[in-house]
Order: sequence, then structure tokens, then C-alpha cells
Amino acid sequence: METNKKGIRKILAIRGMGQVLTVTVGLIILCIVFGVLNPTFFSNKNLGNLLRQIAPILLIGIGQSYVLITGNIDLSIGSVLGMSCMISATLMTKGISPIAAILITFVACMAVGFLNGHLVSTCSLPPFIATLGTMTIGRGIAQIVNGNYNTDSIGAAGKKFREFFYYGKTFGIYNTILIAIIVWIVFNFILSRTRTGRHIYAIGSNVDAAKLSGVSVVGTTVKVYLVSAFCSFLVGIITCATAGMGTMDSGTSYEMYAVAASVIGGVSTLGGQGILLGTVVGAAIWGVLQNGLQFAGAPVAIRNIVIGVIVVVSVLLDVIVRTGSFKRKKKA
Amino acid sequence: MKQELLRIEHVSLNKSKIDYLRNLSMWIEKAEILGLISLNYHGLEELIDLIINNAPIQQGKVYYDGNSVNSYLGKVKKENKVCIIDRQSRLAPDLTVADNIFVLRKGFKKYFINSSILEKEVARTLTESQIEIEPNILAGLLTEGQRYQVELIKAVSFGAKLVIVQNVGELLSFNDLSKFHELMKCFAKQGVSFLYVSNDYREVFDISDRALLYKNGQIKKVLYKDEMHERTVLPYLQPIKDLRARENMERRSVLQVKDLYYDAANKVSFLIHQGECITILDKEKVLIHHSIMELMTLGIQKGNIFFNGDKFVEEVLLIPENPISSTLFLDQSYLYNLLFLIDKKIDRSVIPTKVIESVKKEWGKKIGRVMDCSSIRDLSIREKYQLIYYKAILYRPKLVIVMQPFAVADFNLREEIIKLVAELKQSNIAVLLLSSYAIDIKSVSDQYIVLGEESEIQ
Repeated sequence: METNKKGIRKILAIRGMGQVLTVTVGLIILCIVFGVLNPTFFSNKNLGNLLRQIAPILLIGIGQSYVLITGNIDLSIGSVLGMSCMISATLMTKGISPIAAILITFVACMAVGFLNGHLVSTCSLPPFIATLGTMTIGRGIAQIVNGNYNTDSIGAAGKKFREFFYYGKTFGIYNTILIAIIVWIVFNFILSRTRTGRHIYAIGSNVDAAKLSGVSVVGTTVKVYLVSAFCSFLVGIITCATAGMGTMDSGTSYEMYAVAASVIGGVSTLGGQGILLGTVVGAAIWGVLQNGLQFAGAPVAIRNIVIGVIVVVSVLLDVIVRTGSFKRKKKA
Repeated sequence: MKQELLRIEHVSLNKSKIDYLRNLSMWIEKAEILGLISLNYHGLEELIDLIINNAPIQQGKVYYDGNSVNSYLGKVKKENKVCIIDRQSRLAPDLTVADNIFVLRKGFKKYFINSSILEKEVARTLTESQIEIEPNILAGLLTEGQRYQVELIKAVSFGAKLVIVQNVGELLSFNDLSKFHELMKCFAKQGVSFLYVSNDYREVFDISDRALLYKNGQIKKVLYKDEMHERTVLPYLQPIKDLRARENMERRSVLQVKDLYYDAANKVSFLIHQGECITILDKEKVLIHHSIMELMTLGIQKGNIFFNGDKFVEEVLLIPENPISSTLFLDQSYLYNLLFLIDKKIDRSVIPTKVIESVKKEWGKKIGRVMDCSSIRDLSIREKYQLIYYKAILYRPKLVIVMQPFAVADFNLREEIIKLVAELKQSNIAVLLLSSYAIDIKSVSDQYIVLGEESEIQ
């Protein structure tokens, strides 16, 4: 009994775990409500689809969480995703092998992440403005890469590519879901256990203290934007595999979904707080709401409104909790 | 006969069941400079809030300029025409001095502003006050001394009859402080009253007509001009133990400075050993303003610095002025903060669980339950200072440089800092203190150097 209590205390002592548990209760309630409204919600087929819906949101949520924890934001996520989708699809339709196409796309997306990182840290541009600029640039590239047209089907050459990123299963689990899980494990380890992770929290928590402690603010900021760009690149590839073609508007509004997943999961927009387990729950809430409301017959507009309200309330709660703590009595 | 401007009668103030002010009575006369020596900070913020904003009180009455403004029955007036000058700048950095003095104040009603007339008006005011500042210079470009002067002029232009000046000596150099005191005396002659708050009694004695000894929300003693001596204050202070290192211990040298010239610092030479503490008393804040690190790496004009036989770059830890805001991560856990520099020390990206557990075991008894807290924001100031120094001990650098160790510290905290510096020394770490105050440094320093035209070692 005493060991159990100790274990619970240890879990609760993990930074941000309290928030994650609270949101998890919300997720469970949502699942029960949608399950009662429509029993097919819990069917195997729907659960598989639901997880496949959640995976891309989780991936971009991981990238956005990294950026948010440093106290910045990345608005170019959707455009980089669009770029990734369009560049890879265009190259494959031109007969370039999927591996080469993926590599070229990777370099292009990472270049945007690198640019974002330097604009924010080296040039000290406000992250909102810097990434707003690269968002427009990214979308422009996505449009120009195939002459302002969506691509044709990536065809037979892309069959294996689609199989790997969308249709395929490993150990009975869709590859898309597995990719999300692996990426989550890697980035969660980096954030929670490595020096880089500590530096990310340090910058978001107190940038002056971080500088004085010898943390490279420029280097770490560039790293988080690279992570964000990498996640967008990955989702762009998955989107391309899902559709079997490149569409210029793919990834539109995904920056909003990424912020939603992070913030609902307890990542603070003020920086320094949040864990990637929360992003999983945040992405799951987003997915369950989309899926459940669809089952309940709610129009897209209503779904957007509900998610928007939840995001605003989450941020508001975070701000109240964080700023409220300043007003607490000072101990002499 | 002098008239009273402010009278606080038997005021008690408590919030959330904590007594901040207890049966406090005091008065300030018109054109008087009243010193307030804060032996600790408990309730001081509330007292200032009471004077400016008539904060709700549970007992007593407050009169300002002949009128009852606040009582236990409820406040009569929302706020008094009182201004405060402290660490926090109240000037808009991107506006000119003229705009800050005349435009950015309550009661300024003009919609169209003629800049040239405004600048002439400000120039006249500045000349009258014998201050050499261009009215069209941006406030953000002012030196700290000029900033305080402009804030004072702004307060007087606003029509404040009482100005609260809090802990200015911590930021100003000896010269700037003297200039600021002259300006205060000039305005006091014109009828402005001052409440001069500081924890340095010598500074208060220099400027005040009368002084109060304040501790725990109470006035412990009223000191008139003829009573302003160290011996009247000492009974109220806890004696600080002499924590200097014992002599005749064999220690390796860590840092040697030879014939260093830097601005006003002339021919500074010293040698610091392991476990030794040297204080550089920098009244003009030459070194403090130019960051010791910059000085040591770039700004040497003449002289030699040897760091353990090598260049002075590594194995040095800096504890800056205001270390809580500049070295701690308040929303992170105690352990996160304590271990922050360890990865650098052990040169591992992932801190092994073994190391974490051993730190927990070694430090757990000393630190206690606080070690488990997930956010250090709500820790007391004393605990936060302990964390800063424990982190340094754990990191074990060869040299720790502490800038203005006693800035913003009340007497109790000073005692704690002295203990913590002694702990650094016991861990065989060399300590270099840079302070503009002579107060208390003798308790911990093995030797101190007074910077000036001819720097001397004592």
C-alpha cells in the first residue's frame, strides 16, 4: 500500500503530470459520451481510423510543443507540411525514386526550420511574425513547385511508398500509427532526459538565466524549429501517401491543430512547461472530438467552433494558473 | 512650526491571516526627508501600498495633507498624490525625457503637443535643477543615475508632495548617489517631503532629517539627527559571526591579477587561493557596470590575469546581481534547478540516474522536503538563495564571482548570504565578491580591495 502511494506521488511529481491527468479524465468522459451516443464509436474499424486520424496531429503537435516550450510559436507548420506533400509528389510524378524524393523534400523542409530558428534567435524577430512570413513563403513554394496545379497520381512507382506510409501494417498496427509512436518515443526521450531537453525548458522558463548558465539560445532555438519542420515534413509525406497525390492546400490550418494538441495537453504558451505525454492526450481529444462529432452528425462548422472554444479555454486556464501564481503571498 | 503631511496612527494591516503592519504609527512633516531603515522587508511593500493607494486596514487611521484618507471603517480617498522611485523604471524608454516628464503623467490634458515648446520648458526645469540632460534624448538611453534624476523631476512636476525613494543606493554609484541626494535636498527646500527607504543605515543617516528603524511591520525606534550613530542601530541588528577562513592553511592559488588598469580602477593586484574570499569594494561601480567577465576576457587595458596558470575562461561561475531572476528557473522543480549545470560538469547529455540519486541522498538531509517541490516559484527568498549557492557548490567551479551579493537583501538575508559564501569557501571554492557596499563584507572576506585612484588592499 505504502509502495503504491509512493509510486503515485512519484508520477504526480513529474513536471506537468497533474495537468495531463486532468485532461485525460476529460478524454475518457468524451469517449464515454460519444460511445453512448453511437455504439459504433468503439468498433475496431472506427478505433483504427481514429488512431490514424490522431497520428498526424500528434506528430505536428510534438513539433509545436517543442517550439512552445521555448516560449516561441511556429505558424509555418501547415505550409511546410504542404511543401513536403507537394515536393515529394511532384518529384515522384516526374519519375524520381521515392527515396530520393523523400530526401530532397527533407532537405527543403529542414531549410525552412533552419531559417525559422535563425530568424527568431539570431535576428530576434518576433516568432509570430517570422513564422507568419515563412508560412506564406512555404505555401508559395507548395503552389509553385508544380506550376500552380495539384499533381497527378504518384502512380505505380509510389505504390510501395503508399504501402509504407499509409496502408501497411506492422504487428497488426498501421504504419502511420507506428511512425507516430516511434517519433514520440524519440522526442520524448530527448525532451525529458537529455541536455538538449533541459536547455529547451530553460530557455522557455528564463532565457536570461539560460544564457548565464552557458546555454546556447540560438542553437537550441534552431533545434526546436528543426524538430517542428521535421514533424511537418513527416506528416506531409504521410498526407501524400494517403491521397496518392500532392495537393497545394494540404496542411491548411494544421498550425492551429498543432497548437490545439499542445495547449489542450498542458503545454504552456508562455514557455517552460509541458510534457509530450500531454500532447498525446491533446491530439487524442482533437481526434475524438472530430470523429465523435462526425458520428453525431455535427457539421464541420460546429466541430471547428467546439475545438476553437476548447483551445481558447485551455490557454485561458494556463494563463490564469501561471499569472495567478505571481499573486500568491510571498514568504518572508 | 513644521506642518505634518502624512500621519499614520496605530495602523494594523493583515491579509490572508498574516499580519503585515502591527499598530504602526509614524508621521512625515512637510519638506522633511524621513529615513526608514528596513531591518527586514516584512510588511514594507504593504506600508508603501498603504501610503500611496490607501490599502484597506483593520485598525487605525491615516491622514494625508490635513485630511483623513483612510481608516479601519474604509478608505475615504482612492489614492494620494505620492510617487515612488525604485529599481523599476517608470519611464517609457522609447519616448524622450521631455515626453516622459510632462506628457506621460496623470492630469496632462493637452491633445496637440508642440515639441519645441515642451522641450524648452523641460530644458528650463532641468537647468533650474542643475541637471545636464538633453530634453530630447530617449529615456532608454539614460544612465541609471540620470534615470533616477528624471524620475524625481517627473514626480515633482506631477505635483507629488511626498516622494518615496526606495533602495536607490543599490543601483547608483557613489557619485550618482551624491548627485541624487543633492537634488532631493533641493526639492525638499521647495517643500517636497521624502520617505527614504534603505537597508543601509549609513546611507539613510547621510540624507535624512529624522530616521525610523523598521522591522516586522513595526517602528522600533525613531532616531533624531543627534542619535544617528552606528551604536544606536547596532542593538537592533543580529551580530554576524566572523566566518573568515582560518589562516595558515595550505591552498593552491586560483586567480592572480597583476597591475590591472581599467577605467577608474588603477593598478589592481591580488592573488586568490582555493577556499578564500576576496571582496572588491567598488564604490563607483566601475567593475560592476562593466561585467567582470567582459573585463577579464576583453576589456583589459593593461595588466595580467592568470587563472590557475591558464587563461581566465573556464571553471568560473558567476552569480549576478539579482540572482533569483537571472539564474533560477522558477517554474521548474528544485532538482531541475539544482542539477542544471551538472550535465556540463560530467559532460554527459543524459544525467545518469545514479548521479541524480546520489545528489538526492547527499543533499536531501541538508535541503529537506523542499527538494521534492515541482516548482520553486513559491519558495521563500532565503530558500531560493540557498538553491543558487548549493547549485554552485554542487558544480564545484574553481572560482565563484558574486556581483553585488547584498543588493536587495535585508539584514536577515545578508546573514544567510554570508553563511552561504562561507559554505562555498568550506568546499574549497575561491570566491570573489564585487560590492559597492562596505557593509558586512568584513564578516566573510579574507581581504578586500578598495577600488579608486589608487586601489588599496586591506
